[in-house]
Amino acid sequence: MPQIGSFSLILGLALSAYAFAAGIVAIVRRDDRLGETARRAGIATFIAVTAASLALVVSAFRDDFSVAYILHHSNRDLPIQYKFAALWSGQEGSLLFWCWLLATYGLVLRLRHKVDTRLVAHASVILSAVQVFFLCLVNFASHPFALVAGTIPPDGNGLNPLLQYPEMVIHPPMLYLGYVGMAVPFAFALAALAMRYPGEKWIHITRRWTMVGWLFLSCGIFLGAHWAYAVLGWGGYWGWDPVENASLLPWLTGTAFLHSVMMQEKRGMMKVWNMWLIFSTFLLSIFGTFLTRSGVVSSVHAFAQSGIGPWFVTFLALIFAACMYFYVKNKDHLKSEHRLESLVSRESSFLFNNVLLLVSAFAVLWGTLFPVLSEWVQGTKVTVGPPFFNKVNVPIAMVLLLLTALGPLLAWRKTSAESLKKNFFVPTIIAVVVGVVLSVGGMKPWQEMSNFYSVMAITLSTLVAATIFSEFWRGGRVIARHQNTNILSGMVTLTRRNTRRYGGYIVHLGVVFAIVGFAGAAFNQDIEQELGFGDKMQIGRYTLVCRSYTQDEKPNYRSEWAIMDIFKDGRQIDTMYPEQRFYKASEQRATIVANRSGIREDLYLVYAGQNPDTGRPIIKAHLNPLVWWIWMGAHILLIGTIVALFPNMQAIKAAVLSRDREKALAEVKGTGSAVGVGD
Amino acid sequence: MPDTNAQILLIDDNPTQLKVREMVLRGAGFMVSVATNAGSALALMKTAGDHYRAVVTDHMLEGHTGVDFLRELRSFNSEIPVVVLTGMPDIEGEYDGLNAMVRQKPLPPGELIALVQQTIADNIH
Repeated sequence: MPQIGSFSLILGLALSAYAFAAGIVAIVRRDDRLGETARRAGIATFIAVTAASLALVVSAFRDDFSVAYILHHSNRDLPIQYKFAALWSGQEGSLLFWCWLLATYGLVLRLRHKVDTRLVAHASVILSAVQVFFLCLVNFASHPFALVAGTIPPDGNGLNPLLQYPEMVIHPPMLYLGYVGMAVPFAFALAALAMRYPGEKWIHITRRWTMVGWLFLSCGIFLGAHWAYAVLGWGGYWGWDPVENASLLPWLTGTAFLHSVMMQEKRGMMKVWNMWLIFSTFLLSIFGTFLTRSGVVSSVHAFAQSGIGPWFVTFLALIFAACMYFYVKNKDHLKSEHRLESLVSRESSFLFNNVLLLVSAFAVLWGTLFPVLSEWVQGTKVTVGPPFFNKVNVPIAMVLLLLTALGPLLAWRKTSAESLKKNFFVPTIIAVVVGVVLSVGGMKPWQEMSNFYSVMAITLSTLVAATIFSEFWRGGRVIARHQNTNILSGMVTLTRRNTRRYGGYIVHLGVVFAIVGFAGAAFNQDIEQELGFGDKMQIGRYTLVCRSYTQDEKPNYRSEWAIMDIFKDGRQIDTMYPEQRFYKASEQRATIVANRSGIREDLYLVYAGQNPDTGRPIIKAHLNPLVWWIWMGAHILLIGTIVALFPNMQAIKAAVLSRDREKALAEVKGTGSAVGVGD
Repeated sequence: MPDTNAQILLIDDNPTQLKVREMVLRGAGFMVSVATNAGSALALMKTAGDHYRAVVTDHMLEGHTGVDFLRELRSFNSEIPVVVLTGMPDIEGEYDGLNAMVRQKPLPPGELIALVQQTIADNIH
């Protein structure tokens, strides 16, 4: 099996190198036949890389510990879903997984080449170049099928216990689908620039690809946050860890692109800006992959320090050089068709939105790299923690919230005072009322900065939600009257007629929910106590009583757990079982958090350890307000993105009509009738 | 709640004796849960009682005797075999009607293992 895998990787590299070289020659010589062989070589790369990936998975299932990768990331007693996940749990496997995802995206691109044959041919070459890089990595620098030297141990080291959790089966694939997905819009953008593509059709073709990559990136980020919350046991969901930041960076620039690209579509503006945004998004995706694997910064996520850093640095430099070359050569092709006419316009709101997102991205990048930079300059590593990132990003998030409310309701070019009043008066009143109620109702923004930001966040979120609701209500009401149906049907029809706009509103609503959830963090409480049988601890309105504690043994791990009865206002409402595991193969501890989640707050219990003298458990209890809103926001954001990906109802009808018309025409021509369509 | 594979619930308020018996039974291939008092053990039985095949308890527990524990246990679980270990003579009568097997301490490891194996085997049949 490892031999099959190794051979498939070599074959894949050869095929992708051919697809790259032949693709370039075909473009230069305008040789369609050669171009077709390049396209097919690209498709065949998918088959070769799939074979290699399957070989690794089968090796895991068969407990083939002659393969070093399987020895280090699996063991006999590992449940089967985690043996499958071993594919992406280590460096070599995750790079192979990257290759496979890229080959899959490439396959879809090449199968859909008829959408614009020349553009796709150019984009294909660029994707092949990226594929060559990653296949070189897995063939020469980080080989997943390297064999164990000497005696093969009878069992493996097992999977990192932090990864033995259901969400870890899907979090990395989602994130990688996002990172890799950004290669496609990058390929299209660079292709459009290189071939001086006329018009903006390339953006229409690229838009859905960008949204798909963004969707998976968002999914991966939220899953990672939820995993951190549910597994790591520190009571939080985002620690501004370098690898977390690495996933956020392309998300920020990708979000900026998804907004500013509308200006290019509608008004022919910001062409240079958009081109470099999509270049940056892809560069940051590669950078994120590099950060996770090179050991440059220390992180709870990072793989062990490895020698592939120079490969990534070289590749990043080559991509940047290619982007710069084509930009300098063809920048005259990117002249804007219009200028900004008013500060109170949709264009200006998108511009401000972009500037803020980029400031945030820069600050996150700076903070992430500061330890490396300080070590180079001063010789000592200075770490930057959450206070820096929060200090910069929280105010930015507030202004972005305000823009989220204003932007969609501003007109293109210029917005009148009358329109402003009509669109914003009622939502503003509602938001102000909510802000006042929160302030006097206990959140006391004057007491602490974090309280102030929480009140601001919820107030502005209310403004956004109110403007979104008013858009759906007004539009839905018109349709409902026209079609003599109810308001809900009207809203559904409204959405189906413009999925991009109204799907976007739903995405904004998801963001609002998530920000409300983040706002709760200012009011977190926690307490830690050793508990014997019958002992109690108090947190908020909850009384926690330890009813029992014990230890257990399973084939894969030993566990210590406690039985905690939960009382609220004197009445028992639940029983919770915080647990700690010790995994035998890897000799690592992992926390299994007991979490009781509600709309208002989470009661979060951690088995923090055991007093060695008494044998009693030490329980840490957290009371985390509003966390549920974050996960609900994530779901809403994903639904909104999926809605926005659907074609408009009119577009579907037109496509169906067009196909029917073509079919009828073909039948008429076929029968030789003198009467044609349209006569 | 945690998915337990434990077969034996071991109860003793003396941590040293508890640890020694636990190691003996684990060494014999049993999966063991432990409790240090009657209340804790009853909570475990109510939570995970379906998984256990036998209970091994000391007669003297903190604040209770094995008899108190067993009376409470039999109010919701009449089936599970219980072995009571005691250093005190002539206490079998206290366990009449509670379906318990009383044995005198000290019990050598081999005998403890054989006793638990026999108890489980008898219960299956």
